[in-house]
Amino acid sequence: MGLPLAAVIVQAVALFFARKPVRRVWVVGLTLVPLVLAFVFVVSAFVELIELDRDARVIRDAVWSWIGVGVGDAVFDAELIFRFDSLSAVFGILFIAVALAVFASGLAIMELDARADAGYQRFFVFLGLAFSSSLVFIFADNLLLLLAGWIGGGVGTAWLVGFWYSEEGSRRAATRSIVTSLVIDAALVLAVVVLFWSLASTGPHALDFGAIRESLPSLGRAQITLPFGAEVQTMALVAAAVALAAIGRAAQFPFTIAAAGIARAPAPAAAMGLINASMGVVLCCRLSFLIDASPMTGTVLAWVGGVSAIAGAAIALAQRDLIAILVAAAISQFAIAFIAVGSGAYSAAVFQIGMTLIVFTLLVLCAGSVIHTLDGERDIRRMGGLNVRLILTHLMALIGVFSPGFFLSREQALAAPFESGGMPGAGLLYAMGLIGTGLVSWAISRFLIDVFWGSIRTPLGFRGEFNDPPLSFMLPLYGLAFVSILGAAMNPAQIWGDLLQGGVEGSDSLTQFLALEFTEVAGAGIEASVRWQLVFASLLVTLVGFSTTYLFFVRFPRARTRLNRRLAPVQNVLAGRRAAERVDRAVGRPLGALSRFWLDLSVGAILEKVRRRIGVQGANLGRTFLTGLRRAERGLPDVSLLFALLGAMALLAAVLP
Amino acid sequence: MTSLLETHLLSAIIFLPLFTALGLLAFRIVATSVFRSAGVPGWVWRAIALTSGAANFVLAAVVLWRGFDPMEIGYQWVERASWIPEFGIHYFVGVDGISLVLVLLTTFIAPIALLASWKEVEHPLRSYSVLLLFLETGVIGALLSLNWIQLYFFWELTLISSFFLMGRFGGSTGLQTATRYLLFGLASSMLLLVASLVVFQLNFDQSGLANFDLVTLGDLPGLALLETEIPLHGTDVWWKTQQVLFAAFVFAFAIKIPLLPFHSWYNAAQKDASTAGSVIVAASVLKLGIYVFLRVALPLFPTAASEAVEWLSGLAVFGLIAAGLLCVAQTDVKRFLGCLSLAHMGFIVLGIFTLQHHAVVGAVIHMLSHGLTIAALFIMFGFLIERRETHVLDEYGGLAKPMPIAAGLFAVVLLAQASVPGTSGFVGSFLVMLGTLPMGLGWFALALVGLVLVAGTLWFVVGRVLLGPLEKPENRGLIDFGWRERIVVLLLIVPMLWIGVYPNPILRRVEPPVSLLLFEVEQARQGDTSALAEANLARADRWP
Repeated sequence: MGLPLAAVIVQAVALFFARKPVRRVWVVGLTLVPLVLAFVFVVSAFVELIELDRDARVIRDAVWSWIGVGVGDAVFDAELIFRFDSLSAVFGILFIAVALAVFASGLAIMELDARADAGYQRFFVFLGLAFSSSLVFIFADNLLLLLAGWIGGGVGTAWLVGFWYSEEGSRRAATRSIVTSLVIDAALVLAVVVLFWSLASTGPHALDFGAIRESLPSLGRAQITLPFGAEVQTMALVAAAVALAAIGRAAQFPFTIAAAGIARAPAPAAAMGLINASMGVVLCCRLSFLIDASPMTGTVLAWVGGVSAIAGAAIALAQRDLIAILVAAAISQFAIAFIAVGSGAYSAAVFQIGMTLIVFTLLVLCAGSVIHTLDGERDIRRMGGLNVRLILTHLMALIGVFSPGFFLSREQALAAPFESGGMPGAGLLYAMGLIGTGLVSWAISRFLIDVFWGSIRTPLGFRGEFNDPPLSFMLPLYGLAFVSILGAAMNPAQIWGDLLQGGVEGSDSLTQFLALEFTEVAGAGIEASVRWQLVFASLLVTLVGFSTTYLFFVRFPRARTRLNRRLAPVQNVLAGRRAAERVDRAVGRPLGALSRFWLDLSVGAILEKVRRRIGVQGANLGRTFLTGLRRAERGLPDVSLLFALLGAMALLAAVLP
Repeated sequence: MTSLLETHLLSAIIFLPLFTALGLLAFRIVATSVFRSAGVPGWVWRAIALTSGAANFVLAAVVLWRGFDPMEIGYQWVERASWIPEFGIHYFVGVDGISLVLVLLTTFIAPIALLASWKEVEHPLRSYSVLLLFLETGVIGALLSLNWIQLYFFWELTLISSFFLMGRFGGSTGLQTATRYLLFGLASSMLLLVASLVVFQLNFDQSGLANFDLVTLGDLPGLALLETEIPLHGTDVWWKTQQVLFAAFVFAFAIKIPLLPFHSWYNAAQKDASTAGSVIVAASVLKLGIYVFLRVALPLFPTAASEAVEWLSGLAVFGLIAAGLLCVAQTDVKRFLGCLSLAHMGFIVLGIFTLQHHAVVGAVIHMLSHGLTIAALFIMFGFLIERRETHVLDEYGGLAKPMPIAAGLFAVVLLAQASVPGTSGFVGSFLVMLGTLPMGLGWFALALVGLVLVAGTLWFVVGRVLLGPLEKPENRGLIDFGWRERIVVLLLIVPMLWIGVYPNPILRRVEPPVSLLLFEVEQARQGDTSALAEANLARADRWP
C-alpha cells in the first residue's frame, strides 16, 4: 500500500527539484512499477488470506502509533495499522486492477494530449495521490485512518477535476467538488467523534473495526442531546452521518451535481473519480454494523438509491459531453448498489460496485480514445461513424455495454429488497431501480450508436492517422474487457442457487467469501418462481433500453445502405444519417426535461438558480453584505481600547485606598 | 562549557538573540566612532542575525528537546536567581511540554522569517536585524518565565520591538499603524498589570510575603501567585473578586490574542508590517497571548473560568465563524491572512475553554501547526508581493501557469491550513473537535461549521490567486520561486508533514502539563487545596 504513495512522493520531489521535466520513461516507471508490485503483493496476501481458517481471515499490519491522547476511558489511540480481511481483499484487488488500467492508459493518452505537455508529471502526482488515499481508506483498520483516506480521496479527486486549472470551467468544477467534499467530510467527522465518546461512556475500548463491532451492543438505546434539547438515538445519528457522507461521495441525490465535476476531468481522471465515488458504497460496506444498528438509515439509503437510479440515468440522457454521459450513468448504477446496501445485501452491493467500476472504467477509457482521436472533441453530436477506424475501441465498448457480469450484478442488487423480506415498499423500490436500469441501457446504447455508428459528423475531421490508439493505451482496455466478461463468474452462485432452489452450500462465491464481514439480513429469501420473474423483468428492461435505440436506427434505410457497404452485416442495419439528432428530438427533449428536473432538485443547482433569479437585487445585496463584512473587519477599535483603559482605572480605584 | 550550558540552557536560548543584537550595536558604535568607519555591509548584519537564530534553534531542537524528559511532570531545566528579592521579583525560568513546543516554534520561525525577507528590506538592514532579535528574545523569555514581573518585562519587550518594526519598516502608514498597535498593547498590558497587582496583594495578605513567582519553589517559604486563593465573593468593593479579576484578564487577553471583536489593531498591523514582522507576530506573538492565558489565568481563576466557559466559548466560536466570513470579503492579501489567523485563534481558544483534555492538547498542537502554516502563507504571499508590488487579491489569478512550483507549495500549505489528514493541521483540529463534543452537540456543530467555512475560504482564495485564466498581462511574465524561496517554504512544510504523520513525540510532551493544569483547575474549583499542594510538591522535586 505504501508503494503507490512512495511513488507519488518521489514524483512530487522530482517535480520540485528537477530543472527540466523528468523524462517520460521515468514517469512511466514510477507510475506503473509500484502499482504492478502492489497488485502482486495484494494477490499474494489474498492467497495467504484464503489459506487461513474461515473465522480468522484477518491480517493486520501495524506501522506505528499515530495519535494517542487521553487517560482512562477517554484514551483516544489511533494507530497507523492496516487491515487485510475479505472485504479489503476484494476491494484492494479490484481497485488496484482498475487503477492499473487507468494509470497505464493515462500514461498513453496524456502523452498524446497536446495540452498535457506542461502537466504530464503533475497529472500522475494527482492521480497517485487520489489513488493512494483510496488505498488507505480500503485497508484502514480504525476509524481515524478510514477518515484520513476518505478526506484524502476527496481532495485528490478535486485536484484531478481542476487539472486543466487555467480553464474557468475546470476551476468552477473543482470548487464545486471541494465544497461537496467538505460537507461530507464534516459528516464523517461527526460520526467518528460521536461514536468515540459514546463508546468511551461504556468503558475503555479500541478504535479498530473489530472492537467497535463488539462494543456496539453495549450502547443499546443510548441517546444524545441535540441542540435545543431534542434527543435522538446515538446510533441513529452516527448511522445517518455515515449515510450522508456515503451518498455525498457517491454523488447520489441530492448531491448529483458532484458528478458534473468528475465529468469535466480528462478521461483517466474521470475514471479515477469514479473509483473515488465508489468509496461511498465501500464506506457503507465497511461500516455495515453501524447501518445495521439503525434500520431506518438503511431504509433511507435504499430509497435514496432508488431516486438516484432514475435521477442519474435521466441526467445521463440529457448530457452531450461524452464523459458526462458515462459518469452520470455510472452514478445511476452506484445507486443500485445503495438499494442493495439499504436492504442489507452488502455482498450484492460489492458485486454491483465491482462490475460497475470495471465496465464504466472501460467505457470511460474508450471515450478517452475517441476524444483523443477527435482532437479533444467531447460533444457526442459531433461524432459518429468511428467504428470503421477505431475498430478495437469499438469492440471494447461493445463488450462493456453488453457485459454479462454487469447484468448479473445489477440483477442481484435489484432483487435485494425482496430478499430482505422486511423492506417497506420493496416493489416500488425495485421498479425505480428497474426504470433507472432501463434508462441507463438507453444512455449507454446511445453512447455506442452516436459515437461509433452512423455517419461521420465531426466538422474538423480526425486527428492524424485516425486509428485506434497505440497498444500501450489499448492493453489496459483489453484487460478490463476480459475482466468484465470474467466478472460474470464472480458471484453467480447465489443467483443460480436461488433459481434452482438448491442453495449454494459449499460454494466459495463472493457472498460466501464476504460472509464474515457482514451480517447479511436473514430474509425470507426468494422462491425460484419469483427469482425467474425478476431476472426476466431485468432482462426485459435492459433489452428494451437497447432495442429502443436500435429501432430508431433501423428506420433509416439510406444510412443503412451506406453502412452496409462498409461494415459488418449486423452493424449495417443500425446506422443512419442524423440519427442522433432524431433521437434527441424524439426522446432527448422529454428526457432532458426530466433531467433538468432532477438537477434542479439538487442542493447546488437550487442555490445556483436562486443566485440567478435574484439578479441585480441579489448582486446589490451581496455587495452590501461584503462591504459590511469589510467594515466589520476593522473591529471595534475605540470601544475595546476604551474598555481596557476604563477597566484598568476601575481596578486601580478599587485597590487604592 | 557543557555543564554551563546544561545548567543555563534556558538562559542561553533566551538571551542569545539579545546578546547578538547588543553585540551588533556595540560593534557599530565602535566601528563608527572609534575607527570612523562606515561600518560593515548590511548583509553581514543579517547573516550574523541569521546565524544566531539558527544556533538558537539548534540549541532548542537538539539540546533542549533531547534533554527534556517527557515522563516528568512539571518544569524542567529550572533556573532561579534573585533580582529584587524584597518585592519577590526573581529571575526564574523553566520549561514544560507546552512551553517547549512554543519555544521550538519561535526559534524555528525567527531565522526563517529573516531568510524569507532577505531581499524585501533593503535599508536599513542593521536595525531590522536587531529588532527581530529583540523580538525573538521577548517571545522566548515570556514563554519560559516563571515569575510574573519577569514575564511582563519580556511581554513588553515584544510590544516595543514590534512597534519599532512596524513603524520603521511598515510602509507609508506604518507609523500610524504601529502607534495604534502600541496603544492597544499598552492598554491591555495596563489592565493586566493592575489585575495582577491585585492578585499580588491578595497573595501578600495570605502568606505575608511579597512574591511574584508563578509557582512555588520547593525549599523556600511563600505562596506562589498561582496558588493564591482568590475568593469568589468579596466584601464592599469586591463583590465578586474572582469574576472581576478574571474579566480583566480575559479582556486584556482578548485584545492580545486577538479575539473578535477586539481585533482591530491586528489586521491593520499585519497589512503594514514587513514579511518577517508579519510572520513572527502571527506565528509566535499571538500564541504568547493564548499561552499566558492558559498558564496563568486558568489556574488563578478556576471557578470564574468554569462559570464563564459558555460565554467565552461563544466568543471563540463567534470569532471563528465571523472571521471565516470576513475572509471571504477581503480584497487585500494580508488582511485576508489576518482574518484567517483570527479564525484559527478563535478555534484554539474554543479548544482551551472546553477545559477538556483532548481539546486543550489539540489547541496546543494547533498553535504549533498554525504557527507553521500561517508563517508559510505570509512568506509565500510576501514573495508574490515582491514580484507584483500589490496586496490586492484581484490583481492575481491564474498564477499556477507561470509559477507551477509556487502553486505546488501553496497547495501543500493550504492543505495543512485546511486540516487535511497527513498534515499538522489535522492533528490539532481533530483533537479540538474531539474535545468539543462533550460540551454539547451544538458547540461541536458550530465549530465544525467554522472549520468548513475556513477550509472553503482557503479554496476560494486558491481559486482566485492560482487557478483560472491568466488574465492580467502583468502576471504573464512572473518568474517562479527561486531556490532560496523554495527552500524557505520547504523548511516549513517538512515539520507540517512530520507532525501530521507522526505527532506522538510532541503529544507525549504536551499531555502531562495539560493533564496537570486541568487537574489543578478542577481541584481548585472544588476547593480541594491539598491535591493542589501535592501537585506542586511533585513539581518541586527537581528544583534547586
